[in-house]
This record gives sequence, structure tokens and C-alpha cells, in this order.
Amino acid sequence: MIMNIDSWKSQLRKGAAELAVLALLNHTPSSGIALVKRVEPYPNIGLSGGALYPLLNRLEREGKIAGRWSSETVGRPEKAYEVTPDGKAWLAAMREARTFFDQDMNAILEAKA
Amino acid sequence: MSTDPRIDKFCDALEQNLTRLGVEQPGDIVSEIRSHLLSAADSGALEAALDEMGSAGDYARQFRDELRIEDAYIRSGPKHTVATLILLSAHRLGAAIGLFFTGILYLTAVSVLVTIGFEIFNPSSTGLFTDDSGVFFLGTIASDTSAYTEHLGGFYIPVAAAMAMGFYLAGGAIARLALRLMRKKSNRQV
Repeated sequence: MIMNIDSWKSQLRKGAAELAVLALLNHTPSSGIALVKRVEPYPNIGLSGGALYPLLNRLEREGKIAGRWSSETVGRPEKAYEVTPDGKAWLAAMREARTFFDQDMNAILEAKA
Repeated sequence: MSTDPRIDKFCDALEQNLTRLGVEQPGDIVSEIRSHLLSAADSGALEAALDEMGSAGDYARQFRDELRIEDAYIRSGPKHTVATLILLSAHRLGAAIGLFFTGILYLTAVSVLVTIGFEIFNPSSTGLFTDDSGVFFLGTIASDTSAYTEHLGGFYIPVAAAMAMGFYLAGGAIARLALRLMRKKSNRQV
């Protein structure tokens, strides 16, 4: 039997990227490059820079985050994102769903036959 | 600040591809990507950053597909889902497969609806039949109706209408399933 743990791990990440990005931005508004650096300590989330910008672009168009250009970095403008009220409501709903999912999954994993 | 020519080359190609694909505000996206690549270059990680993005054409498609799949999934109507599958089928196998099965189901629904029209004007040769060997046949027979046994009779029209509706709904469900799978795949790519 072929066991591909990477494939299974990628399944675990389904939908996690959006939740992770919204949660990080909810804590602290950040630019894309800053977000990439902030997720570096969490390699298991699997959030890479290449796919981050299309996701940020979509979330902004959906009104879940708002981007604003700033030139705080000397010589280089950056677009900083923050979570909108709609995004905060969406994040709360996602967190709740995730909590219930984790509760049930933990109960199954810890259940004794 | 780095002025690596690869950054200009990638950003120029990205802007051209985003414009070609009809993505809104390509300049804003390119400015952000340029800023990202310049920061990566400053920290000596430009090669890795460019590798993560792939070719400018593929990366531009990620922006377009991310929006298009999500938009079609949220709106959910057959017009949006089928239009999205048609546009994505050129470079996404999932979209092509979804479009194929959706197309078959929609065409079957239309075909069944056409038989309802024939049933109205020519009821004796249209319906659900079985031949001598017991094989079912749905539609219109040209001649010699005595070789077939007709079923349903006057109930053919409501049954055929229900079947057409069933095929139509199944086609829509397949289209949404294809979009859902592509949506999950987009998330996995992150």
C-alpha cells in the first residue's frame, strides 16, 4: 500500500489558508511580505508567498479585508491589509465551525473502544 | 534596494498576462508583487520567491481563477457555473471533466424536453417503449409501432418533464461539484 503523508497533509490544509490569513490580519494589520514572515514560524500551515497574493486579492474583492498603500518603508510603498467588519464576522463564523470540528475530531481520536 | 532585472521581467510579463486575462486593477497587483520581490531580493531570497510564483502566465491565471471560481461558487446559477467551467476548461482538467458531464446531462434534459413536444403532436409514436427483447427506448419511433410496447401512455409528459428537470439539476450539481473540487485545490496550493 502506498502511503503519501504529504497528500494527506495537503488535505488538512483545505480552507485553512483563508482562516489563517484572516486570523493573522485580525491580530495585526500587515502587508503581504510581512504576512509571509509572520507565518514562517508555522511551517505546518503550509502558507507560501506564491499563493498568498491571489488569496489576499480575492479576500479584498469580497470585502473581507481592506488594503491601503502606505510608504512607511523608506523608498518602497507597501500595501497593508486589515480585516473589515464583514471579515471579522466571517472569521468568527469560521472559528466557531473549526472549534466544533476539532471538538468532535478530538472526541473520536480519544474515544476508547 | 535591489534592481535585479528578473524582477522587471517578471512584473512586466505578469501585467501583460493579467491585462490579457481581464483581471481588474492589474497595476495594483503588480505593484504589490514588485514590492514583495524587492523585499525578497533584499534578503537574498529572490530565487525562492520567483520559484514560488512560477511563470508569470501561470501566476496571472491564479489571480483570475481564484476570483472566478469563488464568484461562480457563490452565485451558483447555471449561467455562472457553466460559463466558468468553459473558461477554465482550457487549462484545468477538473473543469474540462465537469463541463463534459454537465454538457451531457444538460443535452439529455433538452432532448427529453423535445420528446415532450413530439408527444403532444404525435402521441402514438413517442414515449417510453420496449422492443421484443425487452430493451427500453425513450423517444420517437419512425414507423411500425406494433413492434414496440408503449409504457406510461398519458403519463409520459409529466414523467418526461420530471426526468428533464432531474437531468438539469444533476448537470448543475456536477458543475458545482467540479467548482468545489477546484476551490479546494486552490486552497491546497497555498
